[in-house]
Amino acid sequence: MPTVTSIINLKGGVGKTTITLALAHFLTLEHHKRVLVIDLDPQTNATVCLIPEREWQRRDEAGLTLYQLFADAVKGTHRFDADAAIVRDVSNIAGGIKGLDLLPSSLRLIKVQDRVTQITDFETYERGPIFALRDALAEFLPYYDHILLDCPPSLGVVTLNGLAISDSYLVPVVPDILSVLGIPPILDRVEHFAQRTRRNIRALGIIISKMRAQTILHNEMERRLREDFVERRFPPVFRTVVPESTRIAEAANVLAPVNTLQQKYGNGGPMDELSALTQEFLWHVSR
Amino acid sequence: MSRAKSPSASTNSEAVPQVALAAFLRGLAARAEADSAFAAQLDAALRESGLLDHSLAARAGPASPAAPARKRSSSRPHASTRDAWQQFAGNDLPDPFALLRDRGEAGLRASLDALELPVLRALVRVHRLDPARISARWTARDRVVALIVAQVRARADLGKAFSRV
Repeated sequence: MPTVTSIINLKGGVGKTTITLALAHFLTLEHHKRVLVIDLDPQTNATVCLIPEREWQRRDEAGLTLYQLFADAVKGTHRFDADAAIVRDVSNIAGGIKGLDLLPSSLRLIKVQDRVTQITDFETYERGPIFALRDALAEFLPYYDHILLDCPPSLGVVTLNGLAISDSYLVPVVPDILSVLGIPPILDRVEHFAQRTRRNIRALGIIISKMRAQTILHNEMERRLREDFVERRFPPVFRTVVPESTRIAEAANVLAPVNTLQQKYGNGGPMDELSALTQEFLWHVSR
Repeated sequence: MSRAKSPSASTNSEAVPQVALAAFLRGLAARAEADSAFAAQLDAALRESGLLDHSLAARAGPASPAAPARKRSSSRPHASTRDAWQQFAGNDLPDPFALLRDRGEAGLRASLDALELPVLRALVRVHRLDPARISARWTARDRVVALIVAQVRARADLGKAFSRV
């Protein structure tokens, strides 16, 4: 059975997409795993980091993105075809990585979000398209070793669809005041959802992201996060810290000519950190 | 205890970093000599930084009118690699994004075709068009021109697909 992990935080800009993509790349290329990235974020960032914009546009216009899934839920239609929507062997490394697949998002998800929210009961989860993703992907998930869901910075219906198929979740945080404040509501809300839907969704851990080691604030907040874990208030904080890095930012360019992970993420530095992060992720999911 | 330095102490404090820097570099050299893996890492980091290329490019001298000759005036006999890099990265380099905007892709390509390889490489570096530095070993100008055109075009088009939604 695959492990299904949501990468989630209510705050934007904390590195959710960066971590999703890094895990996907390192799991496939360094650990030879089959990985499906599901881009639930209407910003579509993970999508356009894995396939060119034009390709996304063509697919979106053909109804081959998650927009169609939620549009079906609103309109009562059944046009979404998961098999056709999943893009195989994506990424710019060597023209595509065998075993790294993508279920693309769509900017148009923004348009249906309000409607699906209106028809959803957020207390009992017994009404609304909470399980649309689960039902659409049921036959495809077993093919993969890992499914990574890049969630939007909210706990709306789209994110709940991700949690409904997840057995674990990761919380990336920038070690600053506002990002850390957002952790308890996530933990509470996911626990509420898990209880109501009788699921076990394990908090794999917190990943410190965009760390600027030269700043006092980031160091202080990292120390506090680790202390809070010791006091059992938070899930474990990953030992590996993802640094703020130009190379990581540049790795988002799906049109850059690269043939290896080293070329995508740079030798040493970020490359080593992301490799270590992936190993730590595998250790956590195997526990 | 006050941290203020006396005027006499400032002379010493200028000497200390020099001594410390020399000791650090000696230690680095010794470690690289003793540990081949470390030497390889150091080499990779140096190459990654681009300092070597800038230095070599500067030493090679001017390759075209766009790359002005390095001044070797007696007042600055030891211009740093950074100075040399800035000569390439200065205003003399054409702006490929402006060329694309003003003259179109054919115009950009024609402008690039007129440039020498070191200048094209400088363009790639200045605009981070090839962060992986795959093109650093390419010797065919045409390939570098094609890379610049493709990357400039891609950046200029960034987000266009989204604007139609």
